[in-house]
Amino acid sequence: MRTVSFLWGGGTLLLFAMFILGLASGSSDLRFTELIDLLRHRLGYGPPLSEELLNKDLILWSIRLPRVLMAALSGAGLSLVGAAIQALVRNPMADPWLLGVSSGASLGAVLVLVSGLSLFGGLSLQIFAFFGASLASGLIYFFSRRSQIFSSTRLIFSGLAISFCLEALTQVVIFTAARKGEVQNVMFWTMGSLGSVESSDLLVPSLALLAGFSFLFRSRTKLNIACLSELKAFSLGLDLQRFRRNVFLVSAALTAVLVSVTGSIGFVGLMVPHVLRLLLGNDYRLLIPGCLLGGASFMIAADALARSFFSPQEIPIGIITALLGSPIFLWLMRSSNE
Amino acid sequence: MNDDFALQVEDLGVSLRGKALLADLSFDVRPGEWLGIVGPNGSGKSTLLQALVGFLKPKQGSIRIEGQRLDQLSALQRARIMAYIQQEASPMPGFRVSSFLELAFHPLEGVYDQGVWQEECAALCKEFQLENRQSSPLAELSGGERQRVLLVQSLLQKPKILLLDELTNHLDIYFQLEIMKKLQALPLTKVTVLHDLNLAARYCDRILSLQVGRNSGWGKPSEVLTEENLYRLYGVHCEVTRVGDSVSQIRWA
Repeated sequence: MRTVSFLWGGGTLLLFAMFILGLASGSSDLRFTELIDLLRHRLGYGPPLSEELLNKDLILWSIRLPRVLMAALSGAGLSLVGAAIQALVRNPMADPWLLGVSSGASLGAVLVLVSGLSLFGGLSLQIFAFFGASLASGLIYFFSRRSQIFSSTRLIFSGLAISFCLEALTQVVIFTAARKGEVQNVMFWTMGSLGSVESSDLLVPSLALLAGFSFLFRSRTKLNIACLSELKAFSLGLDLQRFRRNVFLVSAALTAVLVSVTGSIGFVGLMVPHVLRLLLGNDYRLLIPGCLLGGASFMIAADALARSFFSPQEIPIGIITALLGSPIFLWLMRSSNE
Repeated sequence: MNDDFALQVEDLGVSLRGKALLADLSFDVRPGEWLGIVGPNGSGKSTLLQALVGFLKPKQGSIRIEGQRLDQLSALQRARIMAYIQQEASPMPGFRVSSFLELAFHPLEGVYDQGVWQEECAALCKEFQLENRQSSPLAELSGGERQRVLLVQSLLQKPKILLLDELTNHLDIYFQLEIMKKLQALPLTKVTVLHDLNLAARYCDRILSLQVGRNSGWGKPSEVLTEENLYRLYGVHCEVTRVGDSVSQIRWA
């Protein structure tokens, strides 16, 4: 299919361009030629680096590269999950927030930040966030089922109820916190941040994205069928109950891993798939690769802006994704024929 | 159990939330035969088709397709034998005609050659005058074109049994007759819900009439489409004209 090849080609080019932009942006600007010099030096055949470039070398490889990679992983993952959940509930307005993962992870992370728990050493925050996310999605899954039947309407309502409840609990923890100094960190985390990402954080999200993408890419025709009525999906041979359960579990696990590293970054999972729907149509054979490449590109760009807008100060990326995404979203929606 | 039947229904009962929708239904359909299901609104015609496709689970009785119990077949196995078109065109969100038709290949993956399938897809689109509509969004199609797309999709599933719920609803008289003629020429077993009794009389080999979920007549059109039975079903008098053993026209009084 020619469109798919164009999509892969164009999307990869866009991602590459955003990757360069992401590496070059920030409080310490890197010119493109400097990037090339640093890359050549790293590969072992460039001129010796000046003292200024040595500093930039450290920034590039230790701080900026892991951050840009994590932005790409999280943008791609959240967009893929958003698109998958939209098929799951047959509603284009659904997003990963419905899985309860963001609110569950926030509660777990906030508990660690506020109480100073260090049960798992430096990884306490991520591990508690992951537990919180898993617990929340487990509860939502439990309430979405009735007599062994997984209902998308129940998913929407239990997702809303449990997410609101966990967010309220998070607020209770914040307001009763003894360690008031942590409130700033908490706020930053609940709005999402890539500021503390290190190279060692990348392995698990990379594997989770690889597994999630492989599953969704293999299921792209089934995702298309799942958008039809239950009866039509059934008559086309899709066991919708089982498929929905699998999509739910894969989506919840991928989101939990991502959110436990970056905090809760909103709007991406809703906006990227929807913008791609307006550009490419609702065919998941295009949407899945589109979300992988488009989501990653968008998040890298949003993170670059989060670092550059008020440089050297950084603003939470969730604010940028909403500020940048909303106008694009509204403009595309208005110019669309549907 | 009898392998000579494409469909065999015995003592079928279907309930939803404690309410009986179908009860004590028994009938069979031979391979290649066309069974028409008629009856007033709410008599259980669509419910019966949904039970036949396996979507609604029987509370009692059994359904066999090609000698096998329906409840022992997986969704994929069922889809390789039966294709179904539902009464209300299902929501078809944002697909183009070609992408929508390609969904019919899902049950055939791994068991049917995709190249051959694509050639058949092109031929069917031409036959049903959809060849210039392949890249059109489904939302832009007329009601009649949409019905034809649904029919082509179900044929592309390569079924042996075709279950159709009021397919001719949105079609003008030309396409109604066109589609009925094409269906008649297909060497498939067909079970169709029909509101137009003249079409049912003209094309179906046998008729099952339903009243409040129960069998009120099953047999040749001339045996079921009688003045008495139709009055019992619809509460309206009619005049049935017969030529030999077949019904040629039904005129409502």
